[in-house]
Amino acid sequence: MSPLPEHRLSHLRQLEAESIHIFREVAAEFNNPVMMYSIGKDSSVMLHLAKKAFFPAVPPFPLLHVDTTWKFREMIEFRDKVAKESGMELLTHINPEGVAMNISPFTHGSKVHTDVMKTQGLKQALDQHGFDAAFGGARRDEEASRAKERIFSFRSEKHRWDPKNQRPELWSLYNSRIKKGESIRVFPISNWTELDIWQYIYLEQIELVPLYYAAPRPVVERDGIKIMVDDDRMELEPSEVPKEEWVRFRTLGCYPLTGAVESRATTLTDIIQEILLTKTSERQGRLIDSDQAGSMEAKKAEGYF
Amino acid sequence: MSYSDDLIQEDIHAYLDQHEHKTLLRLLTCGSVDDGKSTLIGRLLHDSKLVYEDQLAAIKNSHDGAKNGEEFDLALLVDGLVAEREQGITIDVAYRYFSTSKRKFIIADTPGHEQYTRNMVTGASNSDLAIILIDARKGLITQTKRHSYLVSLLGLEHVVVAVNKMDLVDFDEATYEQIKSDYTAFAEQLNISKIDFIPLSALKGDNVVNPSENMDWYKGPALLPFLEEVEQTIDQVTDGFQLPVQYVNRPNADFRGYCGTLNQGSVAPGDPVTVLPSGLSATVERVITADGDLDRAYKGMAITLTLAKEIDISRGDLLVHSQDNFAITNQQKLRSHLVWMDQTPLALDRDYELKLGSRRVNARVDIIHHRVDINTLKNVEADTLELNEIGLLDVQLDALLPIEQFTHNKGLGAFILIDKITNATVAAGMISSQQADMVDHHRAEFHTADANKELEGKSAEQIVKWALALEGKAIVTTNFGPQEAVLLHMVNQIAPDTEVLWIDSGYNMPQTYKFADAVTKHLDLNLTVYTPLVSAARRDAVMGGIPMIDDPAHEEFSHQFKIEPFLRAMKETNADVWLTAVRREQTAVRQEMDAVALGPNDVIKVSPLLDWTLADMQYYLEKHDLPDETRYFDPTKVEAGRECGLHTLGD
Repeated sequence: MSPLPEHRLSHLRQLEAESIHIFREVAAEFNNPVMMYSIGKDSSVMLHLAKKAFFPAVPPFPLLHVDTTWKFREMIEFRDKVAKESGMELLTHINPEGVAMNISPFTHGSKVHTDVMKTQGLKQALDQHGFDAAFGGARRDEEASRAKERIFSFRSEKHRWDPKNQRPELWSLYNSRIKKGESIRVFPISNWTELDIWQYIYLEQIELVPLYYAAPRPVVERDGIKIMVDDDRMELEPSEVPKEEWVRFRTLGCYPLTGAVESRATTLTDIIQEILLTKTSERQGRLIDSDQAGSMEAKKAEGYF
Repeated sequence: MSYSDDLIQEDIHAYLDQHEHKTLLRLLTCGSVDDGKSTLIGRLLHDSKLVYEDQLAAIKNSHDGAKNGEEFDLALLVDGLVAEREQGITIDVAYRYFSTSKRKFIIADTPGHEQYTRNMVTGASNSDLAIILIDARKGLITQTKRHSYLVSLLGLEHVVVAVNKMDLVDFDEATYEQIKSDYTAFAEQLNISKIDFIPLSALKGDNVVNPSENMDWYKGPALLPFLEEVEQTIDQVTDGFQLPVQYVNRPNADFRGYCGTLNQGSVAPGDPVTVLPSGLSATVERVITADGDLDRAYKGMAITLTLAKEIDISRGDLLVHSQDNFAITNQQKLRSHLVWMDQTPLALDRDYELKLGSRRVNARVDIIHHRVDINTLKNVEADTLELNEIGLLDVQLDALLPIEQFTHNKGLGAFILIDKITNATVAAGMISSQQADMVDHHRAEFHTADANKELEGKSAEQIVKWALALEGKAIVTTNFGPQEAVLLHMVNQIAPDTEVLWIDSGYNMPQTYKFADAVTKHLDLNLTVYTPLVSAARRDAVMGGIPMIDDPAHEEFSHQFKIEPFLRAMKETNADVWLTAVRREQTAVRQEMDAVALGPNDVIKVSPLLDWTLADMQYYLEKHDLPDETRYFDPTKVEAGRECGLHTLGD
């Protein structure tokens, strides 16, 4: 296909411009915004866009990582490196109540673990710092409940999301008015699809956590899902012997809740090729979605991203 | 289709290169579940291989997945939230994504039930094109008309009428042709510039992605290939530029960048910039992006500008190309269509917050002209607007706002209203006209022919008296040229407060400035001076001074130094009546003039001295002991007897 004329933006450049517009709107209209940084590829793209929006300045808000203490070790290393390079302040939060209760995905299950360490942890962090706007990297193509999500998503004082009581969003005129204690979750990459994300990473050469690339890693198979044994907190059944396998991760989260896929894709183009030829949707590797019917929607209503 | 493209397997780099150059099309689908809308969207997703196996399996396993007999229900692919699934309805706008090797598509899917207006308007606001579904068995129904009206109201220029369920009318050509002609006739009353028709069956897949074998009488493209090729307005580059300042980027004392998304035209370093509403001006220094400075940025790009000098600019200001400035007006009042989106009806006695571009001002609704009955499209009287109602209203603002008509420019013509207590977004507004046009209703009844007949044989003084007694605001213009004191004096005798407008080109002779001063003092004039946006000194220094009359640049010069400031003056003063001292004997054009005519924006232009001779003028000056100055230079005329264009401006 021939290149577009100079004045014509490609779909990616249009998406990029829309995201930049959203970042600037929030920085201008809110007192205390924050970017939720989850270390994954969507967060990496979001951070890249934020840097572009405020170039040559550093984005005028901090990064916030809600740590569940169960993230892959490589994720934490990557997080610290990227934050340092960006010049932005990195805030991390771990739910102290969860730590006191010794919450673990292995003993408490994914539902309790996610609720306490992620949902409650996030609310604590937002309240503690008094953030009035929080950027998140959710996309509308990810899951049915997200297809109707606004770009500016209103949250009550208790951080609740009411799908029936969202503000109509017209043109690119976002309503940023809130009362004290209320907040807005902002999704600058709402209109990006998984393929757009990968294509943009390729085009802009955005650095990713190495876990996205295939490498020999120690895994065990549990309930049909390959779990990487990232540290010795994982108690293995006698039958479970970690095996070195060529695997990679399509999404990243807590290692006990994230399924690895067999892969030999060691370059970005290998990954994109693999994704395009694959026949299952991205979130299937995430255990939290299939917990219960409409589970993402229920979590969102409670305050999860 | 993209996901099954052999290219992915064979040459991923070539594939990525191809997809890097795709464009984006945002579309709106209008119709109810009964029209097969969800099935159509499901079909587009399914046939373009965008449905993953696990999603498909989930639908096939669900108990209602097989309600259409053996074929599973494609509509379930676009199913939404649990809450609405329980109610069996969709409650909002849902966005769907798919792409082919040529384009990425974003579908705004809006439901057809009672919340349709609010939801459809929301979906339409971010769409380039609308697909209106018509059930071939039913033809045009009230809902079709409703949807079409909303699409037209929201300024969508392109509609594709998808005549669906053709399989249920045996793929009958005559049925399709009847619907096509019915719709064409109906759409004449709407403002939609392009309408295309496609007969299809979403359920069976005819003419959705692939051409139908059952309708060989239809020679056009199937829906998807059509959408891949359709031209978009973004393809056209317009003159000038407009950048609403969204954010001022000041990382340190040495850098001050103005960030925003260009909503019109293109901008390059060196372009002259005017700031609205302040009117300050400067020159573009750099066009900055994180990927390097640009030689030129175009509509839709999110950029940062720096200016060659520091002037006061903040969020909410509008940067425009200096020469385009006159097209936009700073207004404190506007007329607009309003779509009410809140449970609490519109209140006329309270302030709402109005957000337009990056600007927020207080707004209060003055007058409701009418409500539009969305089923009959008739205007009906109303004293409020309730949820999902649409009306035409006048809105009063507490600050000046640069605006344009919505149909000309969505960026400066679209706004939302926010309830200042609940903070809810309560209305969407589309500006239908600017204040300068808003007195049309009484002017429409004004007939210049009748007026000229009435004034036949009347003296200049009588004509002045008549003009000043007309409804609305009267102004008088002057150039402080020879004998200009005559009309000013005449007006002053009747209404001494009348605003006097002087367009000072900056090229006047010293004598003219002295004369202007003397007359102003002598008659105690209520004088307002308008000057060009470019100074004479600057024009001389870097823009080649005053061009010769045969120089093509002369027209631009006239515009810069006379027409633009004049139009600006007329718009800002918002005059209804314009008195001028032109005389028939001055030029050939003036020979043909009438004492009363319509000027720009339908202002009533009155020339009381039209039949006076130079001797009459001199006699009047002597009689009233008025000052005069015969030395005069008009840079836009250069030679005597030439028109500058001001009196030949159409209405």
